[in-house]
Amino acid sequence: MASNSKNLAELLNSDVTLTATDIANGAVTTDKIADGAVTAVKTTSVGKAKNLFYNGAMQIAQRTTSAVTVSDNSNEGYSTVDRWKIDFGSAMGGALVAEPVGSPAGNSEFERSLKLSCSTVNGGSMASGSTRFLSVAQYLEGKDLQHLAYGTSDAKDTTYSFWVYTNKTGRYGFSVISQDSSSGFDVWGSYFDVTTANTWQKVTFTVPGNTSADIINTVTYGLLVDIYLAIAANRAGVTNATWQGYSTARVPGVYTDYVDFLDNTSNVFYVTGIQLETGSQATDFEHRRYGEELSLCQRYYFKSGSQWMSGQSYGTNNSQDGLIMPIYWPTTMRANPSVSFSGGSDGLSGAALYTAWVEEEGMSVNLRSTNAYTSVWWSGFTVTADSEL
Amino acid sequence: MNEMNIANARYDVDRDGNNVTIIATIGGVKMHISIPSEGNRHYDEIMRRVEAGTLTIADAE
Repeated sequence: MASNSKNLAELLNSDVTLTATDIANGAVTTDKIADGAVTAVKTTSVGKAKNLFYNGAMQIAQRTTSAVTVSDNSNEGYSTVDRWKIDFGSAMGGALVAEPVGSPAGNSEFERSLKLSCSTVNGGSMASGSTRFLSVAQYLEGKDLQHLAYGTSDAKDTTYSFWVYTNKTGRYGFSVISQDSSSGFDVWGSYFDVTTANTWQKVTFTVPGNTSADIINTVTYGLLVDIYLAIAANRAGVTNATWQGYSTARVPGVYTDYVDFLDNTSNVFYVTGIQLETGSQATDFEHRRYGEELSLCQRYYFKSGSQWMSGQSYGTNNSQDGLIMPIYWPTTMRANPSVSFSGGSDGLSGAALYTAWVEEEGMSVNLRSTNAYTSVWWSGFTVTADSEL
Repeated sequence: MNEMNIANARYDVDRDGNNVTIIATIGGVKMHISIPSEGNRHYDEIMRRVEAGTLTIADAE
């Protein structure tokens, strides 16, 4: 072999295995690669903001970094890490403790994980007629997904990957539900098996583009992605790994194929490194800067500090008289958020906090006196704005 | 897609007496939601229940 460039050409044409020394350092220079020699599928997502999920590394937890007990209708939904929803679907029984924690040893790439621990067993039936499920889920905005070209012959494949660690071996479910521009729903469901307890396992699914239904192009959700820790009878039964119309079932097989994570209070499940990217390959996780990830999450939820809100007010009646304090959100929110107030100390019994207006860009806090012609004050309260899907 | 626990829904008014906000306890938290707020999951669910006749929003205090 006379030169490294010749070696490379010969190797590519002969389909032999390259060894570490077959291509010398610096041998493959830009001018030796013809235009178009590397196909688009091999460069998809390279160098871009490729992860369509938010907070896949579980770094952001604006609501709390403490453990939260979650059950049906109690702290259900968004309770700890940003953007990841814990769903006790259809009155799923039992309870778990959710907590953003340091990852167990064995996966040094991800310092943080979402830890779920069964705290109360599921005493309800999962058998015929039940639509219960337990999942960790994320809703993705339709406007962020239009480049996937769903509903066209150019619909793009996507790849989902994540890491799990659990003592509960067995089968877990996974599904993607899409919402189209007519508010119809399709589902793509599959499963993964955990065969070794207490060992990090990377799970990967490549989902073909859905050519038969588009994705709604609004700020409502276009995709709902669920990782299931329990599945009842009526949630199982779809054709494995195939796009199909959605009614109730989300995963293939029958419910007894799947674990019921809430069957024993010793069960623990960790998940992290969740990524959704275009293309048919699971590439390295995109680690975003903490501030960048926080800013992205604040489109959906914002919690102020507790010391920077205070005021004194005097009103003539219990309406929008009194002090009005404008607040601008750190980033434009997805939709007008729901606002809540907490903490601080109020002066006199007639002090009350209201909103004067709330929009995607900001709001005005209204400090009122419910006792006419009475001066009131409020110091050090926290504002939360929730625009989650 | 889970059921939302909504209670104690009532309107709040501006200086002119117009309903401008819905105040409700949702999942145990007192929330203030501007009217209208389409796309806000709390607002959309409240309106769905009002239309279905399963939720009534009380007048402002």
